Amino acid sequence: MLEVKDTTFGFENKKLLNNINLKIPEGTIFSFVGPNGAGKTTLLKLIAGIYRPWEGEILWNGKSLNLLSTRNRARFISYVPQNINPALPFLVEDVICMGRYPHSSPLGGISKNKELFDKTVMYLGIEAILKKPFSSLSGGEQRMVLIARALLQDTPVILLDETGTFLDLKHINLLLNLILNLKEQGKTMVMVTHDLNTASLYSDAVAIMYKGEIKRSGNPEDILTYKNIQEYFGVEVYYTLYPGTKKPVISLLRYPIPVEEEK
Amino acid sequence: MRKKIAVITVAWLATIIIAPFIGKISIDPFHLDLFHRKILLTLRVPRTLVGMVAGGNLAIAGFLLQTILVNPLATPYTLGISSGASLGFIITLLLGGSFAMGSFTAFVGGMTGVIIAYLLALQKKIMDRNTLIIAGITVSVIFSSVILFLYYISPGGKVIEIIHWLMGNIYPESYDLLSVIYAISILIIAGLILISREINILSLGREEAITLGVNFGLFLAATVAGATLLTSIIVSITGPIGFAGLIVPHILRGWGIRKSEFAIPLNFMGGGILIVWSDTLSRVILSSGEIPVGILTAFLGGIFLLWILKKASPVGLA
Repeated sequence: MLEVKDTTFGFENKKLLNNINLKIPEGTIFSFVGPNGAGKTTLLKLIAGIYRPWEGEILWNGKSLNLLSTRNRARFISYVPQNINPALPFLVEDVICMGRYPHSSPLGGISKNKELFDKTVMYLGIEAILKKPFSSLSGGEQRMVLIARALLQDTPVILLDETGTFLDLKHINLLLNLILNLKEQGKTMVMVTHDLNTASLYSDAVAIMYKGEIKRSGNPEDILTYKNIQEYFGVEVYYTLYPGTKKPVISLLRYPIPVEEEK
Repeated sequence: MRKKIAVITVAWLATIIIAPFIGKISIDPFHLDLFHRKILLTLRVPRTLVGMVAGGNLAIAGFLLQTILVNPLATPYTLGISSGASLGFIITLLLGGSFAMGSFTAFVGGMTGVIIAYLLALQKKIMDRNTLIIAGITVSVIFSSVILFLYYISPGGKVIEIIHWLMGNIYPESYDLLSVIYAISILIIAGLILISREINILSLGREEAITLGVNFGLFLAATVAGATLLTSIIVSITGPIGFAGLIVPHILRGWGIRKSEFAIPLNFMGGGILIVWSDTLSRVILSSGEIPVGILTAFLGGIFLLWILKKASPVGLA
């Protein structure tokens, strides 16, 4: 169980997150949605340990992560960033192996864990680009490499910050199937996404963030309601349910919906 | 990678062995008389050794700053070392101090410049590499204006002496001083190689470094301290030699040498090769006297930058 408890945070004197409380069961997929500037990425970075909270704590199975060293904490939580430096001067395989850092002995080389490396690389289908410079890859490939790095970090929790953005449909499909598969393996996946359909169809639970607070959280079908979307995103949408489920599918309202003629 | 290491090592060893025999008075290694032996041991060999460690340290410092600041234009002097060292040197000379005292105050001045820049950047609570670069430039600008003021009020003779120092020169130093410089440099370089995986990860930036488990503040400070010490001990004896710290890491990176564990020792050798040959050229190029090596490296550096601009893609620059 990943738990965010009574957490408040901000920059300088400006409060960005107000009294966040959250419980994410182990082995589930959790999504944060909400308008720009609501604090989703800030909260994810707080969980990642990039920021230290003003108040409150982040717990994994009841153990406070804030008390751990940077290195020990990185054995519990890995993070796939939203912005990547496309000009990174390393080969793909070197970037991936950086994920082993928290597991390797101090002052030694980075132990590769050949088995996990080969498995991950094969699973993501990136064998062919291992010897290429990271900077020569397409945006989609670069993201796959960073996911591979997070998998090599081999943590129970993986944080994904808008990882689907900039990916084409094929890569998004690959990514989301991977996320489902990792969940099967017992990993806890926490993501920030702007794609409400991803949040609805792929997550076990969703939270709507608005102005630094969690306004709603629970099952996608209970949270991503027409009314909530209208209230927190401030737009009219076309709203339907995915056939055979109660999961919402949402699109912008581009054309007026024709009223069905009575027969 | 093995082949590249072998090529650079052979070139480095060849430089150490061959360069001392080249100069206005050419020396035949197979017929050494007393006079030639004296030139070799008291002038040429120490001079080659100074060039080796000077170029080596500057290239490593340039590599480190380019890596951790993720800025292809970073040099050993980006954080304010050269202006701090120059100011330290100038003040001592104007107060009537000796060259040796000037060297010491240059060392202190260079370290002070970086410490001020680092503390300025720390004010923002979360250390950010761009803030650090701006702080370094700010310190340089302020120190430089003080230097200009000191020129303005100084007697002409002193100004010429100072300008000559500022050009960057390799002089044969005593073996005692050399052994101290080599011992300190080797210790620092060994320490940097020990933290090379952290240095690689630092180049991902603060956020990714932290989530990968690297204590960003600690290792950034250690790397900056290492680069600053390596540079300061050199600048204090040679003056600010330009461009070696910019060019060498670029050439090696273009050659695929990117990971710190290889790049640190290879930059040491590459920088040594560049400076020793530049210095050798600088002592034979004029029929009378020598030109300061800093002039040559700056000229070569400028041409090299032109070549990069023409050839490399923006990504290749990084």
